Amino acid sequence: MTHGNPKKHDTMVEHILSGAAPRPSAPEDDREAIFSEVHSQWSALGKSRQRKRGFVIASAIAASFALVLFIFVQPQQSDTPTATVATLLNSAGSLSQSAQGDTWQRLNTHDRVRSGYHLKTAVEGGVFALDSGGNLRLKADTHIVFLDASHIRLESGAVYFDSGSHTKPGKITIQASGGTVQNIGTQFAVQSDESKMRVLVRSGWVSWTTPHAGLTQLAARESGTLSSTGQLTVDQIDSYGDPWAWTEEMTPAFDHSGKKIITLLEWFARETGRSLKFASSEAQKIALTQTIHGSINTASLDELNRTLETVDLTSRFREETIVVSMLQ
Amino acid sequence: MSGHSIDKKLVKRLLRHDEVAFREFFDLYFERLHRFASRRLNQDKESTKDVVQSTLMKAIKNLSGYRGEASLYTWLCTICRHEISDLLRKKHRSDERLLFVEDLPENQGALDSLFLSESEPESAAQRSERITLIQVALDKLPTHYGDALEWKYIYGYSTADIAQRLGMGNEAVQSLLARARRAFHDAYSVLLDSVTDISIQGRTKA
Repeated sequence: MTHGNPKKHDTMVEHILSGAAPRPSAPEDDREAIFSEVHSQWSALGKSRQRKRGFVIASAIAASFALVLFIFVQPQQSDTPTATVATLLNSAGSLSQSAQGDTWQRLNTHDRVRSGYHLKTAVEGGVFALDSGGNLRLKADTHIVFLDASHIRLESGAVYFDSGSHTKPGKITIQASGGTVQNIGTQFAVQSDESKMRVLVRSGWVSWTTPHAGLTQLAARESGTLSSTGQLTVDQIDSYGDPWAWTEEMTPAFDHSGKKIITLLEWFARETGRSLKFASSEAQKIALTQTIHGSINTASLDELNRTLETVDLTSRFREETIVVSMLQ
Repeated sequence: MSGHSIDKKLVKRLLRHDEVAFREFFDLYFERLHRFASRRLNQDKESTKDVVQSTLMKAIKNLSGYRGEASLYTWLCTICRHEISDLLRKKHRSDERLLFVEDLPENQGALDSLFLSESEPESAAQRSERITLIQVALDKLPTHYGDALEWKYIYGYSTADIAQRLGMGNEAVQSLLARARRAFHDAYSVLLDSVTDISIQGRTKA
């Protein structure tokens, strides 16, 4: 039985789990093979029991059940290359593309980007919705190449990837001079310049393969820095605050009208890298049951509170949490 | 309804040759059992596959022997331990001590890492051990508790996403997560206590 302060335990549990990695899954072919064998035995035992009770089961029927149960729902994966791979959602300044990396053309909001194209930001960044899922944010002075719908090469600058909806999480592989980074359901940033490459993980888990240091995995609230000499150091970072400020300035718009307040709060918590807490059960109940009126397009606390006020709630930051309470 | 009575009901349905029950049984226990065996077999893929298959075959054959005194998962793990011992004996590795991750004194590293000051970096080995203990604790929970916690805090899924996956409402998911957090806290605490006890005994003997 749990003793002590439940809220303190909850915080401790959240902290413990957020630094963990997903549990490994068995290979799919092993799963299918074992399922088949065990099911066959179970079927045979069942038949034996039924025969003992005086019933007869046709072996053809048992075989057809086994065949049906072989079919597992596989995750949808699109291997079909598409000519266009992403859509520009917004760009505060000039963003340009080039087929070969030489002649550049300005890219406008809602323009589609093709596989193989180079993209550059200037004094402002930009946000792309990827066809493969999730969104990719480019910081100012960044140059990337879209290799395909889920692979990019970071030539210089910084990108931030949010895998987005977790019923269909986005996947991405980012190549840079210091190696290749792959996500496992995450929010993370990659920065690359002549002297170093840095990977910062806000949530989830990434694997990073480097030419010199081999495979490294980084968990939430960790950052890895690879120097030009090939030395890799791993540090702890916060999931909120300065390292992520530029990503919050280009948050993609979120359509939350008609949804519950809790949906908005979870979106906001995710965008600001914080965990969500309620100061009272009353506040939590309102969030779970009340619907949003109005809209919010940026991850700004002031904007959030303008919406929360309509249901007598308010919020404040307290280090790594957003605390939601009743409006006094 | 207690957890074990739910397990007994599932077993009864399996014995009645309920196809849906078989799929439920497999989905609930296969992955956890696979991880249980894999940790004990040093991630040997082929040995793990053989052991998991033989465990499930034996379990299916002896379902009528399940009395509900322990959880079905615990019962399966007991069978699995015997299968692992048999496998190692056949491979002439009977002199190998079966070190279960929960018992390894080296996992004192995981315990130590919890008390590192912020200025002390955690080594890769300590981090790996800590993560293993967390995964063991998650696997000790009922499957939907472990899954919900993993989705929420490791993958970062929203409540709405979890609700959709589980076919529940948002409030029900919040309530489930609260229960799951308490259960994880208890399971993880027990694991850490056992690691500490073993370590203390080891030091005392030394």
